[in-house]
Amino acid sequence: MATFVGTGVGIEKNSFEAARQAALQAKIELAQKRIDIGFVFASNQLSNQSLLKGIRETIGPYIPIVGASSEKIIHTKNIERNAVAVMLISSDQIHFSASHELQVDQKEKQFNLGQQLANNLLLDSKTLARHLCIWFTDGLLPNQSGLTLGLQQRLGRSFPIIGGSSSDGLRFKKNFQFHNEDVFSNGISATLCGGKLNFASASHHGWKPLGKPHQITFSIDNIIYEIDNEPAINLYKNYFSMSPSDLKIPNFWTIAFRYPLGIYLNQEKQYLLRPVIEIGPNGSLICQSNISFNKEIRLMMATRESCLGAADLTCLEIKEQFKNRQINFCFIFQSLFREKILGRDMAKEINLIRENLGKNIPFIGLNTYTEQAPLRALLYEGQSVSHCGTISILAIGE
Amino acid sequence: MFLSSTFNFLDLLPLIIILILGIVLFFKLEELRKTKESLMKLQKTLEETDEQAKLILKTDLELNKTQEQLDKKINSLYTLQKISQEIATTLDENEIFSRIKDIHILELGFERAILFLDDLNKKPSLKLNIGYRPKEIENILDQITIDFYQTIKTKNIISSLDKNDSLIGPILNLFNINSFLIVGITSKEKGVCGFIMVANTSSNMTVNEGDQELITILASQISQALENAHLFEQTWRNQQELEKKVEERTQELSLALEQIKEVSKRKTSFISAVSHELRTPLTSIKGYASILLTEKLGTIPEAIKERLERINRHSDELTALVNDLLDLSRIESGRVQMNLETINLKDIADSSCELLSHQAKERGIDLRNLIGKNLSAVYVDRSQISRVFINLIGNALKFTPKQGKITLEAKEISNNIEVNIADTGIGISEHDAKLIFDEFYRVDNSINETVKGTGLGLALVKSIIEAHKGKIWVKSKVGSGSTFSFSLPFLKK
Repeated sequence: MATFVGTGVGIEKNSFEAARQAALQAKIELAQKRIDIGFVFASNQLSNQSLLKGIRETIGPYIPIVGASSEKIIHTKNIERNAVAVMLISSDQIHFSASHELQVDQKEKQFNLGQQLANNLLLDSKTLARHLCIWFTDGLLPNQSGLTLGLQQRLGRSFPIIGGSSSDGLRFKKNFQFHNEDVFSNGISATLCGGKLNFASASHHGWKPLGKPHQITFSIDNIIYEIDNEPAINLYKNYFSMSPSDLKIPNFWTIAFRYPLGIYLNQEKQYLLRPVIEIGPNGSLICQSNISFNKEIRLMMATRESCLGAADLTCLEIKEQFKNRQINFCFIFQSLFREKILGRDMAKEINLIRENLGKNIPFIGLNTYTEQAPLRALLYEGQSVSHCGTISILAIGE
Repeated sequence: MFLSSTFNFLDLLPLIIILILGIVLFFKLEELRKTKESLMKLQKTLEETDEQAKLILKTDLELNKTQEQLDKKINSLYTLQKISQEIATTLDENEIFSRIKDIHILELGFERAILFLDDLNKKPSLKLNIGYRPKEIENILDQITIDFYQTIKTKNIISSLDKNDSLIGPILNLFNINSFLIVGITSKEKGVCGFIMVANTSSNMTVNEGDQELITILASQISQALENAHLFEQTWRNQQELEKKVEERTQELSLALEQIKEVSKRKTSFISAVSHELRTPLTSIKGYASILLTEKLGTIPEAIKERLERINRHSDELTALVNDLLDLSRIESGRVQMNLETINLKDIADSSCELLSHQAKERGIDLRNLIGKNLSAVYVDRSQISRVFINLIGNALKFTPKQGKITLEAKEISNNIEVNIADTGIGISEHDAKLIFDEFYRVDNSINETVKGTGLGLALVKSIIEAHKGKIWVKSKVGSGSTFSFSLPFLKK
């Protein structure tokens, strides 16, 4: 009566071989126990049908597989650039059901697709108590609030939805999600965890507000048109005395990712970060994820120390939530925007987590554009929202 | 009175209320003014905070920029070191390129890399491709002209940062990239013989000024590795040629040796045949001369007798020469029958010295045999080795002046017994020492002019020693005597 975990990493150039290598290692670690689900995180260039074929051939048919891609892959031992990380779970306590939806970028359809995804997940989860939904979305989605609302409508407003979006090394071109035999973009793959399980999640970014508060005077979804009744871009222009070339992509990213906007949330300990990924027409700012939470925003700033401090705090919260119970495995969602501050210390942050949580706890992770996690303040009743720039950990045990 | 005072109060009430309201209003206005003042102060503080924030941001931005550049430089230097270690440990040109991996180029901050080298016709030959799919590379190879390739090459360094360079547009189009850096690959012999291009397709990862230094170092490392590989190949080729020549020469020499052996064999056969043919008439000549000298056939005049004695003596000398020749040819051809037995060399040396002691005494030469009893035994033909001793001691007696000294010594060295016969004679020049064991070679000196010899003695000695798997040599200095040495393998105790 327990939960067992096997992890493996493949670093072959050939995606089929890399996947088979990773899955085989994970399978060996499980020592012939029945496999209930496989989580797969792979580098973008390895993300193709052969990848899942390699895993399927190794672990066998009918076992659900979910996952996503990013440029670098995080695993218990290291961070690899061209790699596949596979985590296989065997548990007679936890039940996993998995599903996916495609074409999720259309705002008007998102709510329905969210509901549909929830229905599929529930259909397969029998009558067991449901505790957690882990999702992997496309990092290029400008706004995924419709999906959240759709899922919440079926699972409950406070139902924990935790996960991350795939990323592509700040290129914003293409990234992938995985479900069973399918590799796709512009989609969502998710698993619903039921049965007997404990989990804890925490996410912190380490950015602090700077300068005076500003008011968003006109915005739609993830686009801010006006701040303080002026074109939104003026906020950056005023603070940074920017030249026209500074306002061109990718030059602008140097500033926008390092100094994102922060949305003030009443009673929350930290601001909700929204990095600007593009300058729209008429000086509007297109943000990573929607900004319709509050009208008060600040310019945010961080240092390496404050970011690494956030990782420390995240681990501390996980340990506090788990108290003395055993953590079986973890998922780490490390925002790619942190790279602008941490640079070479991105790996140091993962080492810090490894040391804080305990070196024997297996984990795999992704670099993300957005991280999905619940808000902490009571006021929000555990509502799950899209975060940016955070280091998020989801720990699962029995 | 009371009514009038009441009236007065009622009359004054509005005034009092107005007064009170006025006072309240005054205080309220005062409060409002103060609040407005506070608000203005707060506003000013906020504006000041914003100004401070701008200063902080400016400093932070500068710091981060420096930090980022430093990080990139450190990462790149680590990668350059890795590449350097990888390519420095191979001397195979193709292996050099296969050791530059995708991960190295990514760590240097680039998504793609291409390296061309001149082929024999100065056309571009693709040596390294990172980040391009086979079809993309096929297109590039189809489109790149020799002229365009040569133009890029002659520039040595081209960067997409240099907006004025007319080559930038065509390069961006040809290689389907967003930014790039090209650095020439040089060779000591050929000058610029190719180029490496690193590039990015993403506008997020553009080439910057610091990259030029890094890629120049990389290009120089590759150039050096190629130079080493070429030098190695050249040395290897030279060695191969040398080995081929040595093999050819060896074959020629082997052939020559075979021919010499054949000639020598024929010579031996010839000498043997001639000697046999000579011995019969010689025996008759000597026989008839001896009979005539006995005067049994009649008295012969003194003058004829003297001539007959000369014929007799010369016949003896000629017989000795023919015998030596026959022995030599028998030994060389392996036809001689060796009667091998276990013998102590001291015994042979003793009997040889005894045989020649009279001659030594006559000339006042001190002949000493210092060969000890404890020598290991040798497995030899007694008569042949006696011949060696007699020949060598005889030679020593011949070339050592009166009152001279001849010493025989022997010692064991590894598995051999070395015998040294040293004299205080006239010595032999270095030139003569090399030829002294050759057949019919006679040293040109005053003694040889007067004393007759065949010039076969030492050649015969050499043949006998070599037939016993031994060696013979001489050490000598003109005027200081000679030491003839030979070694023979001894029987293991």
